[in-house]
Amino acid sequence: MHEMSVAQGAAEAVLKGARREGAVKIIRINLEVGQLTFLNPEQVIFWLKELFKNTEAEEAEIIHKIIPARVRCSKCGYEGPLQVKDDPLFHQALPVFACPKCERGSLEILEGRDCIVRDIEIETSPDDQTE
Amino acid sequence: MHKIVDLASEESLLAHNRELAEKINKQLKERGIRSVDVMGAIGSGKTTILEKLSERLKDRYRIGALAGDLTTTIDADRIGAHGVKTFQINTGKECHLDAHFISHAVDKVSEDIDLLFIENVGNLICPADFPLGADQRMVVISVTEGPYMVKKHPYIFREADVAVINKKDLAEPMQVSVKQLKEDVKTISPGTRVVIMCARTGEGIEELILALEL
Repeated sequence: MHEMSVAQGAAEAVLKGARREGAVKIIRINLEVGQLTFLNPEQVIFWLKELFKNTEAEEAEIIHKIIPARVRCSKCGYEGPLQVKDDPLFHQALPVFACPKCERGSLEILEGRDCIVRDIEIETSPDDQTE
Repeated sequence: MHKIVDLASEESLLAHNRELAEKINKQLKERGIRSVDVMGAIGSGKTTILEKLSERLKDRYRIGALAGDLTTTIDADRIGAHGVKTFQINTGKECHLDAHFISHAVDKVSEDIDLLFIENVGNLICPADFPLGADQRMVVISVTEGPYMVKKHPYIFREADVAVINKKDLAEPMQVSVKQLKEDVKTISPGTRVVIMCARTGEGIEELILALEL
């Protein structure tokens, strides 16, 4: 449900960055969505497209990548991905928040809880040949 | 000409919320205020639990509560009836509290409290992504919501230091296994302490106070 507020933050970053670089058009947007966020990427993209209407990003292709979770266990020092439980009840694999090595629940999340725009491809003014 | 612009260092909304939450936590600590973020399903008993906790703890703490609600002050009024200083946050249409709401609200919280409950909007999804800067996060579900509440909302249980399974007296008519719900929490998040309660009668309140280290 908060996809819209997250998309607003991302859209602002895209347009600000593009304008700073003198973009006339934004061609591609590379979005990264962490596995541990509660965000549905399709919904984030839907809102981005809405927000980009009548802007330089209106026709941009939005590509998203899921960033897998990486955790560190403060008890045994394990560092790596989370264990995933494949339960037929769920239509997607469910991350388990126990240490895959020592099975305790003392995990610090290193990666996978953000939603960011990694980079964008832009087109600058065609007569700008100086760079 | 084409150009790739790196935006990875631009502010991410979720990261910004976490940073703000850390700042709020520091502020509250400096003011000597302990804080608990109370999340949970709609109608699971969050307010009743806060009423009972306030009754039980009012001689040991000077309690304040920030109550998040879309449009009403019903929860704040109920908690306030127990001598708790309440501060209302109406989120309008937002489905969760975020650190930004709280950063404004903490300025209004009076100096003379030392325990602050923050009652989140009834929702088991969005609050998981938005820590508020409380020392502890607690999540409340009840058996009347059916047997799958934990399995269906794994992320919020990962976030919670304490999980309450409420309305245990209704488990039998609802044909819901409290034991199974507890096991579900422990499978998903072994570090979360589980408390089984019947908030209406006050059963389990001592266990909850222990779990919250209050």
